Amino acid sequence: MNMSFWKKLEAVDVRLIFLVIWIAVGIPLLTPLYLPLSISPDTVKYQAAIDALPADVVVVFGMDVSPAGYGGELGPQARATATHLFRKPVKLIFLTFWETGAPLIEDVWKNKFVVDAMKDKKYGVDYVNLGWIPGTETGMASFATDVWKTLEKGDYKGTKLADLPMMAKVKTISDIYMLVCIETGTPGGPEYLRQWQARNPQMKMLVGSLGVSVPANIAYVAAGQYISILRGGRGATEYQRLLGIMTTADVMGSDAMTMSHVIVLVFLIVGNLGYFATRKAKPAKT
Amino acid sequence: MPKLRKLPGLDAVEEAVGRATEMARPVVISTGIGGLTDVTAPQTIAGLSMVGYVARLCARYGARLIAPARMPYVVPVETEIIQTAFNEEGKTEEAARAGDMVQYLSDSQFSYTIAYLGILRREKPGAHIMVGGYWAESLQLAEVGFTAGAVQIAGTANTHQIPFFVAACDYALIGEEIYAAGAYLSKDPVQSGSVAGQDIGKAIALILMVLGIILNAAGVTYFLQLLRS
Amino acid sequence: MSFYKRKEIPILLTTFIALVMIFSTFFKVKAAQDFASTMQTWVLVIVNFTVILGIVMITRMHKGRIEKRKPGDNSWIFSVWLIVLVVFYFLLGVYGVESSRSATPTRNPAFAWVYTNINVALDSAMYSMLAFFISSAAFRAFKARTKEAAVLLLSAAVIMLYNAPAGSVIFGPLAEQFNALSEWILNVPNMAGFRGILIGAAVGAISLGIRVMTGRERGYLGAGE
Repeated sequence: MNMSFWKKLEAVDVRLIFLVIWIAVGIPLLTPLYLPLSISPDTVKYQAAIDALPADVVVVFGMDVSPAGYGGELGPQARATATHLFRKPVKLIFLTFWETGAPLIEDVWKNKFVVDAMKDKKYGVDYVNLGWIPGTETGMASFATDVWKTLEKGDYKGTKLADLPMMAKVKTISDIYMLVCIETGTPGGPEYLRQWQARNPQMKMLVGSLGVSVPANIAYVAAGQYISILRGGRGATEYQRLLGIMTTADVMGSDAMTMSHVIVLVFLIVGNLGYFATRKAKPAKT
Repeated sequence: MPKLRKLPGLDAVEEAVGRATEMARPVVISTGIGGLTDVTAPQTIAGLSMVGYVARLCARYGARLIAPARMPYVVPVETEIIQTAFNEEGKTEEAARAGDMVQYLSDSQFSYTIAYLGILRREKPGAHIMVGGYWAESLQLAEVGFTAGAVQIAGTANTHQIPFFVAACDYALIGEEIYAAGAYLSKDPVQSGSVAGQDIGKAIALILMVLGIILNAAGVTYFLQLLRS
Repeated sequence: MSFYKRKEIPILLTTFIALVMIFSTFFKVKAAQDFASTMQTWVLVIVNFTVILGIVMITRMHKGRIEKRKPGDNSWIFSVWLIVLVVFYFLLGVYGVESSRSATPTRNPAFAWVYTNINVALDSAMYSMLAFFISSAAFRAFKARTKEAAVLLLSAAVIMLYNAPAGSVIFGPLAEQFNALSEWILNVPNMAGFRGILIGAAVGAISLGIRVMTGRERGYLGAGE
């Protein structure tokens, strides 16, 4: 290919790049490609940790998400995790320290697999929704030291904790067996570590995070502070496959994710090929 | 006075503001989307220090300054900083309009982002400085800033966003470099001393880590249990 | 200098409250913990009141744009639309709180519908724009200009494929080796780098906090002395 081709490529209109990625991601969203999927060890460990939950322990489900994160990678993670947790004989506390997460808890409950898993569960006895707790990390500290004082307002409907039988045994963070945190950013996992796990080192933690946060969260898994993490959209897809709750829409989303990664890689390679080709063509000095 | 190593990103700020002045284009500066009441407060404070410095340069050179803000309670703080900077440079008329330079966009992350992108597209700044806590919007701001033709200097301590700034901006400040900005730019001996002290703190942390590894490998877990209890 | 403009007062206030907050974290003294709890509540109240300040600022800014509109420039229409939406959303929230008799307006179906179908959808759309920006950044900026950049690029390519649901499968019989390489990159050099930055940033934040408390860092109070 001659030099002018590479020079033209280097100077290509950015809208053409946007068009290519739009097409590449759009095709699987219109028709599923059923690309093969491998399961990573972290997701297997995440599933196993929930499978190993003893009966009647209290598990907190922290829905610390923004609408943006929920719409993409964290919504599927949250729905799959909630489905799995509702299938277990544990006591569930749903809460969030993000005001945007509060309505999304109820959105998770509307998912058909979650509805099916929670059909024999009774609100107040098997699960509660404490809604949004204000104060971010300060709120977490307050919850850890005195749950009932922090939640004088009651649950998300305003029902006092005294009227929720399962909350009788939940007074401080020492009464929590496991925290499953689906996090968009701050406050999230590290804040829970500082305020909750620091006060109750026996409390187990699982975290579902965005793909971009995985490299940072890996350090906490290696240190043993998190049992495991769900790695963004890929983790959500793998978890849905393991639980057998993957729908056609989920397949399309997974394929679109693969295509977007591959296309970015292609751009990376083409961009560098162009760089090296034009770099070699510098005129010799006389 | 302890000698701080060169930080090209901070050295380039004055050059960037000068470039914007010559091109008769504004300077856009932001302190991120974090606030002053949570764990991201140090990053916002570092960003506010940068705002003061850049405001001074804009006053001196006569460049227009635009400061988009996300948290409403940061706006009066930023306005006061810019007003003081302009007053100290003798530009009292512009100082009175400091409130117009700081634009509160929205409390919501992506509403703020889209409004910010609109500012970058419309105003086409000559210099775009981002120092503070940034999350998912970092690459969007950096890319649109690039297409607007701005020289970009960015810094954050959020590890998951640093790679985007390094890749997409002309100069990047990584992690703790944003905290050293105040000391580096003011050349105050005590502040520079505190930065040196910070390095000593890191050296102590390193020594403790190595000791911990050796002790753990030798089966001595007493200190580990002590820290955990 | 005017009493209210003196910088010593905010510095003293900052130092005193910071010391009490730190003390209450490490020592179980009831008076300190009660004071810290009160301060935290005050901060929440002040921050939430500044939302009103935000609404006033937004309204003032866009009212100014509407008043200063020039012929041929129709962008003032968006300012009108924004003010209409601010008022609408505020009234909807008040209606939501009153009708559901709870502090959370999303208990009201109308508010919940608007939130889920407009807020969530628009936020997701904005977040998804990142895919386009990453593509253009990959094409434009991720160049192997130096050896270090080349190593970074190769690692990025490996991890990108690993993160894709079907990424490792394209390697066929070598998928397991590819996964092992990816895990090694994430768990060894990546983790070492992130830990270094995290520790450095944490120490830096402590140092900044000490500078703020001792009044040496005054940038957030206003430029200069």
